[in-house]
Amino acid sequence: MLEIVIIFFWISILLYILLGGADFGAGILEIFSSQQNKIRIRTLTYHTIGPVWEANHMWLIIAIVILFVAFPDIYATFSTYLHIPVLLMLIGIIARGTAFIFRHYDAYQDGTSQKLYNFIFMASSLFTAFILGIIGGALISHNIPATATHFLDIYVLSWVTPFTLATGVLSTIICVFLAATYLIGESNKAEDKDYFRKKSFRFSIVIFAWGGIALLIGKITDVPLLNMMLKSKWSLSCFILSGISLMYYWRIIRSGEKWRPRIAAGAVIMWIMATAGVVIHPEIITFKDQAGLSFYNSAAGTLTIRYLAWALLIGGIFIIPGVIHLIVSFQAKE
Amino acid sequence: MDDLIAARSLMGLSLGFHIIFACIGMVMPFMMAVAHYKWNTTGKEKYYILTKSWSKGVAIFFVTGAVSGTLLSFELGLLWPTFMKHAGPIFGMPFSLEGTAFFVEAIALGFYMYGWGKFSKWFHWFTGVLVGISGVASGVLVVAANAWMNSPAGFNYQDGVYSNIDPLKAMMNDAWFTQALHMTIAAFSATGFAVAGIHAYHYYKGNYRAFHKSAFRIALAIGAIAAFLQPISGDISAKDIAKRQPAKLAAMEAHYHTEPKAPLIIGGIVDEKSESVKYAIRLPGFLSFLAHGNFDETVTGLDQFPKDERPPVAITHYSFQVMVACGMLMMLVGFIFIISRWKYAHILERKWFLMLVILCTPLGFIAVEAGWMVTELGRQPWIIYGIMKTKDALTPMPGIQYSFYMFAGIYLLLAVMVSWLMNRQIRYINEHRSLPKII
Ligand code: HDD
Ligand code: HEM
Ligand code: HEM
Repeated sequence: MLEIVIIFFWISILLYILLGGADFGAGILEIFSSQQNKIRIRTLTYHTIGPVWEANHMWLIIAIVILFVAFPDIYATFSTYLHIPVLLMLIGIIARGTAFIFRHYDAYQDGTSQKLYNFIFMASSLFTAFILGIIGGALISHNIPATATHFLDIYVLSWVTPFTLATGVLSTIICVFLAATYLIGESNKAEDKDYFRKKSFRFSIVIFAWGGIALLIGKITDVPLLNMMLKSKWSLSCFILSGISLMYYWRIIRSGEKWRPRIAAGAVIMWIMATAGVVIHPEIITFKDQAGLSFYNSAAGTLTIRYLAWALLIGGIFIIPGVIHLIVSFQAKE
Repeated sequence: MDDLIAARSLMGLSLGFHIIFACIGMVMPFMMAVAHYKWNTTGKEKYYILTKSWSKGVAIFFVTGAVSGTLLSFELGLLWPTFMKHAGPIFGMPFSLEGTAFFVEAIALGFYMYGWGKFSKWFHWFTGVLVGISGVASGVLVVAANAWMNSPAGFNYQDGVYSNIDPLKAMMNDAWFTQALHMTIAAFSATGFAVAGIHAYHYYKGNYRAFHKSAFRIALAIGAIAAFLQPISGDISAKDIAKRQPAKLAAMEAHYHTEPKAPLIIGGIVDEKSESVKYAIRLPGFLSFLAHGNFDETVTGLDQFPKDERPPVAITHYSFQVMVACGMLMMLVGFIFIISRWKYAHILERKWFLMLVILCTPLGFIAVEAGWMVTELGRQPWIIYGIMKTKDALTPMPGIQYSFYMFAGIYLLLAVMVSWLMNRQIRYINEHRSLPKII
């Protein structure tokens, strides 16, 4: 039963990264586009991401609920040590969600207020994606001091390091990459398709380059990640699979197709995440000075896990066909 | 501000903010469905405009509710890690079921909002109803978690160890039914009156009268029925509390001394030092009657509890009185409405009646906030009644007051923005008698 809960947890995280990431990325992409392209992106995102927007957001909540029901120690530790970045992330989520909805539902689509919503939407997309990357980086970098007593050490320096800043940047790039790839398949006009295809390709190269830099920064600042990765054959395999997926993506991205580039791009990101996950396995939160917390050493009692697993399975029966139906119903017409 | 007060204030603020959007998210879809039903059956333009504009309201409130809810699910850990560490596995059941309800709600809303002209008209209508049903389901479920804090069940507790955890029993705790019933009815009466008040105002001002008249009548009909059921359910709650949480009952009634034929205290000023209430009206025996259904019964007073296990009295008592006063007023207006609808239709057009409805706009939500103050403050000093004290659940992170100030600012801004947005919707419809275009 524990396995079912863990699988649901990882599926939620993965879907949040892929779907939510594309959603964040659309906002970030606007920043890096000319005025005319901004409008193009906006119209497309409204028609494609709009209907599923709320559902994307739910994956994060499912993951959090799984944490506090089934792995309360992890939840409590996470929200104590990473109190500040989690707070920052929440501010970003609030600003983004409200700006998105306001800019579409304001009855008067006049200049100033729309400018303000757009600005907030873009800025908070960038900010939130960056903070999510920082949080991810902090969890895996063996830098949280379980025994420290000084405020700065406990609450700040555990997540403000060169490595976490690098993972923050990496996650923003990943979001833009996912969004651009997703939007290729949603465009009807050849010129739009071309535009997103180019963006997607460029950002795939940036991911490749920045991923390397991030690992290097980790290596220089004594984050044990790279060494551990090289030692474990499982994580090395995941890493190699991400490379293979990337090459496959490079081969087919020119085609301008809808599904294969999406799947390839999703696979690249999935394997990068899997590499990080497997490196620290079985731990989920790593500490600097003692063994970290894992799903196994912090699971709640059997009855709780059993009920949760059933709730998730039954929920899945309702949710998954619903989400698929929703996405399919609103696919852009060719 | 010390960290405990700051954290409690922040939690109260966030929940107090969320609950407004949650109530509207539960009830607005039903009002929208009524208008949609009328559009489907009569084909009158005004019902179409009403349905569409209410559905936009639903979308705006849904998102604000969703982001404030996301915030809450993290905030429980940010502020009360020790509580969540122990309580999470016990009271998590409703939260995990609630996930499904939210998902269904979000999916149905996606279908509804973006599905105009894409589906058969009754299927489309049904997705709107489904938004409401799943909204109410999630509200009812999350209240189970709060009810568990008031009436812990489903585990054994000894010397700080929680054993024999049964999440299903925890969910089916004694307080769930009464609280969920009272909360759901409250959502309907509060939202019904608020929406009716806003449309009554525009009707009164003479803006696009056909539209605002239908809107105001649909909303008030829902509010009026709920306002009737509210005091009945409130009475059930009070009797329940008298058995389960006598300290809360004593605090909300400012009942200091245990006595038979206990008086009901109305109004007055509570003096916590001398443990008395000045300038109040006292109805002898009525508290005994309300709490136990018998004028002679003894009602436990605060003197039965050690000082460090008493909830704050004054604020709990005032909140309770505010809630009941609002409830009585709303019931009265609801009564006039129902009678007039039935027999004296001309009253609904009278200025004084419209004025009365306008004045009632905020009452339901004031009562909701006051009611939660009673429930939450009346549970103090416990976070899990009788098991864990609030102060022991607090995060070690210092400086919570800054979070409090910051979120107070954010919530204020959001509230202003949402009201402004709603106002612009209505202004547009008044000016153009048609719907604003979206991109
Ligand atoms: C429209 C809103 C509204 C109105 C008119 C009333 N209430 Fe209420 N009341 C609530 C909205 C509310 C609430 C906000 O929904 C609460 C908070 C917790 C809960 O379950 O419901 C609540 C709590 C609450 C409690 C505490 C429940 C607990 O802690 O478990 C009692 C005893 C009452 N109410 C009693 C009444 C009575 C006797 C009313 C007579 C008119 C009344 N309420 C009107
Ligand atoms: C939406 C309706 C709710 C409102 C308006 C509300 C209101 C409040 C208020 C005013 C406080 C501060 C009490 C104080 O000053 O001591 C508080 C505290 C708290 N509430 Fe609620 N509450 C609601 C529902 C819930 C639910 C469903 C939960 C379930 C998890 C919950 C969990 C808490 C916790 C953990 C605290 C902090 C500890 C405490 O002060 O007792 N509340 N809430
Ligand atoms: C008794 C108090 C509460 C009630 C009645 C309530 C009800 C609701 C409702 C009806 C919604 C849907 C939003 C909408 O349609 O506008 C919602 C959203 C949400 N609530 Fe609450 N809630 C309460 C307290 C809480 C608490 C204590 C938490 C966190 C632990 C919470 C977490 C959430 C979350 C995460 C969402 C967003 C879900 C989404 O994206 O759709 N709620 N709540």
